[in-house]
Parts: sequence; structure tokens; C-alpha cells
Amino acid sequence: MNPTGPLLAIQDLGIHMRTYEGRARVLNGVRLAIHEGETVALVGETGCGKSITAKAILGLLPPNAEIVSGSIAFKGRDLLRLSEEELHGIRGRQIAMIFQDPSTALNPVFTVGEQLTDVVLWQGARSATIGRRVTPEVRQRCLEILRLVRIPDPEGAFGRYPVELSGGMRQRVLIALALVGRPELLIADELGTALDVSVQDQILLELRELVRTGGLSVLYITHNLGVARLVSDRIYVMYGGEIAEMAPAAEIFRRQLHPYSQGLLAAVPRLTGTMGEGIEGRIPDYVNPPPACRFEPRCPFRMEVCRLQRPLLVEAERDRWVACHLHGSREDSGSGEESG
Amino acid sequence: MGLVEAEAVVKHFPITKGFLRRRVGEVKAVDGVNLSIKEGATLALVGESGSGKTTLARVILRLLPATSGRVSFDGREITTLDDGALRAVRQKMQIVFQNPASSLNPRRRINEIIEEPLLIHRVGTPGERRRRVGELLERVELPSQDFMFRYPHSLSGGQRQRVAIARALALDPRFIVLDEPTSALDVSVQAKIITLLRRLQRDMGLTYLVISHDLSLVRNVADVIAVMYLGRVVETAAVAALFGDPKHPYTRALLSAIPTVSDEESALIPEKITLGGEIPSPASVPSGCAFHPRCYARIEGCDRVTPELVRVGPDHHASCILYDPAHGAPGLHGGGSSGMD
Repeated sequence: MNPTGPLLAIQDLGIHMRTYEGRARVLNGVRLAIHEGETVALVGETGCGKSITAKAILGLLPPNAEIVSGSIAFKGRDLLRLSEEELHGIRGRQIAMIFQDPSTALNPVFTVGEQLTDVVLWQGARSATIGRRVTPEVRQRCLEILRLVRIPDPEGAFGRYPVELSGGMRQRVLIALALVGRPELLIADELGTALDVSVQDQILLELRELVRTGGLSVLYITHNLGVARLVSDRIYVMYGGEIAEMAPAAEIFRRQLHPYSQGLLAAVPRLTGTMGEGIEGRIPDYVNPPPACRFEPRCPFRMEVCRLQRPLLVEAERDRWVACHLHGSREDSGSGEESG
Repeated sequence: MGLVEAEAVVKHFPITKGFLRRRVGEVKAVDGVNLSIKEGATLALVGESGSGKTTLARVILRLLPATSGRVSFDGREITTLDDGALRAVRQKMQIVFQNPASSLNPRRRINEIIEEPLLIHRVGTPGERRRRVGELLERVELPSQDFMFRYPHSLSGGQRQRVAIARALALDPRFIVLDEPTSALDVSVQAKIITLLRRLQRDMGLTYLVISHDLSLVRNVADVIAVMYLGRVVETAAVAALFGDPKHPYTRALLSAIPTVSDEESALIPEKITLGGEIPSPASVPSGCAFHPRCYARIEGCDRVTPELVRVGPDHHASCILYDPAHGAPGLHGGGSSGMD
């Protein structure tokens, strides 16, 4: 698809965390790629490892986390091997993050303008730049970005404190903060899910437009499958610290290959008046995870092999990857079962 | 006559200023709402934050005094009951809160949490209460031996919400308010809690008032829906009518904003409407129809005339000037469904 390779390529990422209960194997061989101009959604439920994956990309893992395997290549450079100095030049500039909660992610004691100009003036500097002189060009750049995220009266908003803004406006300011450094990759963590549905809808559609016109690539982290369907080109479903399935967004909502994806989709309440009964059991214990397939204890289709051998993520059908013994890879599909 | 009836319920909160707490305005959280919930049925209040749905539920339970209006339960007005009489009625009305992580006391064991309402209302002997707690845990599908003596922190979110439901059931209520009962849970857990709530309703003949911002969820749990906007009900109908033929411009916009997961659902959604702006503060409700500044179908007069709920179909009411015969009922055009009579 892209001759120069993906913008971001995560290979075999393994992360352990030291906890009181022992060593938690929170990520186990995660593989994920984002191509230029593409919006990818990473979906999964609480505790599946999606936020840890985002933090690993940005080098923001908590101190008790240890990377035990893998690489995260951004434009060919492995972010895990960069010095803190080099990472500083990438984080917040080439890769930016939109944080989840608009009510807590902004600093309440600085105005919107101060927080925006700080990012522009920062230029890789180590110390905060709030209080430094703001040139008319910098101010102009900030107002332009506020206008881009459709904040009415940007001049007024520039001088306001976050508390003076509504939830939707704060979310827009957070998007502006991420975009003002002109990033190539945007990571959006649960964007809009803290907002009312009519405001969420506005913001998602606006962001989709910004992404399309700006040639941005986006990694969208969400638990909301409907939101993922609305915004993304491709979807990764994560379960128990592993990628369970990957497919184009248009296809996965019609038919899911992994039993977990099937259970998850079935549990979503629908406007058609249907709603499944949910998935039995609970997420795995990361200190003592199931030995082979991590979904096996909850899986309605479990077999002998599921406890013995870890299913690898293989391309079961064209552009559709799944980690499940029910599906063989396209090459050796002799024993693999076609799903219905 | 429903089990629960609300008539012209108003709840205003004063805004005070300065040392003397001078009254400088009021928040019109609930501004004249009528509701009727049939025994054994589920009514859902839907709306965005600030629409007054939680305040209304609290006034119905008399956790908040009404500014004016009447609430009656089983034919008896409760807005004016004294504390003693209210206590007896309260046993029959319970509430399950949104976040089970904060609604359960972290220092109490599960058995103590569930027993508490029984103690407060002095029900039974210690032995009877103990048996009752065991029964209630089994009712919500938590094996009592495993859960009785645990603390809330050792439970998953879904298990905690089951404990909150068991506590609400302790006094054999007839009516339960479910305030965003699953919005803190993952979808696979939400589905299990909803299945449980439905079963309990069927087995025990419970009447539910569900508060939710999630229209897809409400589609699957409610019999009747009331859509609220800035303290007023703007549309109310049976589920099928509300989703099949939404009338109020706000309801239509809300429906069109739902992120769906299938083509079948997308087909049910009316034309795509993206609302501008956000719900204004209930401290400064716009004049006339409160929705008019955001409304894409507003006409001359919307900023002056406060619309009343008018009948737009069988058991289907909407408060919009477009449907008001007094204004010629022009209807909403371009919506594809102009089934006005």
C-alpha cells in the first residue's frame, strides 16, 4: 500500500509491570501499523492494554513498566532506542496526543492562550515557556489554530481560563493544543466520549475533516465501537494485552472472525432493538494469564489446542488478520475453518 | 393512573451572591414536567447533561423538595407527606446510582452494605436479616458464600453494580430509579447487568425509571421515553413511535448523532443533522422555546412562544410550535416523515 513502509510500526511489543501481586504481563506481542493519512482505531474494554500501548508510543510509561520485547518504529526509527533528548524532539511535535478528559487535561491556572503559546514557543526547550514574550506571529498562529478547531470568538477564548469554557470548547482547545505543533501522527485517547452525544458528533466530524484535509495520521483509542466505526479506516480489536483481530472498519462490523470481537459486537445495544447478553467471565489476571490463548477461559468455541498453543496473528482472509485457532492463515488454510 | 405520577413539577435552585446571600437569579433545573409511569413498566428519561433528568428523578423520590407541583406514588401524594409517613413510602422507592465505585462504602463488607437498609427500617431479627442478605446476593447472581464478607474494592465494576442492585432490592421496593446504571461499565458487562435488571423486573413486577444519555441503550430497555431539554420534556412516546417517527427537531438531531455499529441501524436514523453549539446553562434559559437558538427548523415566533406538549400521535406528544394547531401546525418539512393528522 505504501512503498516507503508505514508511518508507525509496532512489532512484537511486550510490556511487563511490577505490581504487588507480581509481574503483570500487560502487553504480549502487540503488532500494529499506521500508514500515512490513515486513521486507525484501537478498540477494547477496560484493562485490555490500549492506553498502555499509546503511552509506550509516546515514551510515557509509568516507572514500574518494563519493555521486554519488540520495537516501535516511527518513520523507520525505533522510538524505544532513542535517548530522552531525541524523543523530546518527536513527542508533542511529530507525534501529539489529545488527552481523554477535557475537564482535567488543561491546566486550570493558565489561560487558553498561555497554554497554546507555550507549545509554540517551546521549540524543544526543556523548561516551561509561560511568561515569555509572545510575538504577534505566535499569537497569530494560535488564533489560527483556534479558528481551525471552530472555536467561536477565538480572540475571546485566547484570554479565558479553562473553567470559563464549556466541555465541548475545552475538548476543542485540547485538539488545538495537539495540532498547534503540526504533528504527523495524532493519538486520540477516548476523544469525545466524555461529552454529550450531540457535541461528540460535532467534534468527531470536525476532526475527521481536519485529518482529511491536513493529511494527518491518527491512532484512535476507544472503547466505543460506534465511534470507531465513524472515524476509522482500519480497526484493531485488543483483548488481554494482545491484538485479537484487525480488519478494515467497513468489514469488521459486518462480520467478525475472532470470538471475542463477536461477543463484543453482540453486546452493543442497537437501535434495531437487539442487545446480546454479554460475555461470560472477566478479563484475565495479568499476573497469571491463561497459558496459550488469553480468551480461552471465556470462549464459547474453545478447543483442546487453545490451552496448549498460543494462536498467532495471521492473515486469515485478504486484509483480515486474526489470532484464533478457528482460523488458519491464507497460505496454509488446509485445516483452517471458514467462518460463517 | 400510573404507579408514579408527576404533575407540573418545578425545581428551581436559587443563585445567591455575596455575604448576605442575596438572590440574584435561579437555575431552572426542572421547569414544569408531567410524567406517568405504569406499574411494571420502564420509563426512560433521556437528555444531555444539564437537561434536568437527575434532578427530576430526585424530586420524584423526594430526595429534593419540589419548588412546586405534585408527585404521587400509588395514588398518594408524597410531596406534602411528613417525615414519618414518608419513611414508609420510601421503603417502596429505591435508587441505584451511576458509579458503584463511589456509591458503596469502601469500609463496609458486602453483607453490611446490603443489610443497611434493613437496619435503618428495623426489619427482622439479625438471623432473618442474614438470610435475607444471602437471598438478595443470589438474586443478583453473586454466590453468597463467595461475596458476603468481601469489600467493594475486591469486586469488578459489574459485581459492584450487582451489590448496589441487591441493596436497592432489600426492602422489596415496587419502584426503582436507575440513574445511568451502566454508564461506568464496559459493554460486555453492561449487557449482563441489563439482562439481570430485565429479569428482576419480570420476576418481581418492578417499575423502573431509567435515566440515561445513551439512546441505543434506552431503545433496548424502556417502554416509554421522555426526552428532556433544559428542564422540560420536549417529546414523549412509546419506544417504537419515538425511534420510528421522532417529531421534535431536538429528538431528531439526537438520534442522528448516535454512533451506530451496523448498516441496519444507520438505515433507521433520520437525515443527518449536526447541531451547532451546546446546551446552554439552565441558569440562563433562552426565551420562548429553549431549543430555538440551536434549532435548524426554527420559524418566526420560536424565540417568543413557549411551546406546550401537544398530541402528535397515539400516546405521542411533542412540544414544538411546528406541531401546535394554535399556530397552524405546519409540521417539520424535509424530514421525510410528515405523518401529521
